[in-house]
Amino acid sequence: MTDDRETPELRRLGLEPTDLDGHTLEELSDYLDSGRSPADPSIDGSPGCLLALDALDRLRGLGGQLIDADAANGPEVEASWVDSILSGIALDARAGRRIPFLSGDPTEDLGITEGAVRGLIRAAETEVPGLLVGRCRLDGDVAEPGAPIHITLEASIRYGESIPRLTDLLRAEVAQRLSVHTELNVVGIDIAVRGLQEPGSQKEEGR
Amino acid sequence: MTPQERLDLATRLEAVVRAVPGVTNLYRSGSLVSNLIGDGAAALGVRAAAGPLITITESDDRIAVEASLGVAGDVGSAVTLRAVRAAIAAATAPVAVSVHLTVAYLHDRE
Repeated sequence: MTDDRETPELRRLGLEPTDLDGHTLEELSDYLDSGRSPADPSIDGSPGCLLALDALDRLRGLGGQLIDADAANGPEVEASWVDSILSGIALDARAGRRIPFLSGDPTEDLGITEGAVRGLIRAAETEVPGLLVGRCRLDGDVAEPGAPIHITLEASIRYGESIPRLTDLLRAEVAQRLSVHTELNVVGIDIAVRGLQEPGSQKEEGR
Repeated sequence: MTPQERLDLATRLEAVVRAVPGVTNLYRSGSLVSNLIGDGAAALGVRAAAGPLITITESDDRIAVEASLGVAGDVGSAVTLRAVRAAIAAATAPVAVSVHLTVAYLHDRE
């Protein structure tokens, strides 16, 4: 993630140091490379950085395989795909809105950040081998208890996998995670899939 | 409450919160800008750089406690926050307390 080929792409994302509590994705990628050693309290103490690190770490698993397959099809495909995944990681790591938990006690104000919820949703990909989440969006007034919320995900799927099967698995995993950690009234989970080709085959798009 | 008493209470409550099952970490509350200002203040000796991560403010009849937490992914966030709230109330009794607690990071299941 930090070689000469990818560095300009990271910069082209327009990510300023303030996007991740003063750090860039490139710095976080280097931190992963070093095994998170020596420990950097400014990274380890930042929820946004931790969310991005988690996503970068998972990207190196399945994402590495997808990048290898994608790279064989030409630099434009690779650049756009890597860009979309990385920009999704950076954007989703922001704290975003605060999502409250219902309470009848006026001296109690409990909540969870939208960034933590997006991280929870993105991490559902670990339960769906062959799939990688690229972006996650919560539409609706999350600060209003009971308001209808629509989840929209973008995902990449390894060529040859069943799109309906994997998206059903992902949808179920996301719904389960959200029911445990939030009180959101989720009315729908849409998953837009970008199928990735194997070397020499054609790119697929699906929904 | 003197500044030192407030600092001592925040330090004590930080230990109380960290001991609650399901709490994995505490993070500094506030924006990047406010934390940078805080770091600047610390550099000038106004605020301890490694001070407690819990914020305490006082009003007429109670103290207000604010914290941003990391919680374990295998326990519901609301369940953990309510346990934290109960632990804080027990630790500050008989002083009335209000809490503003936010989950900022979920440690995924291993």
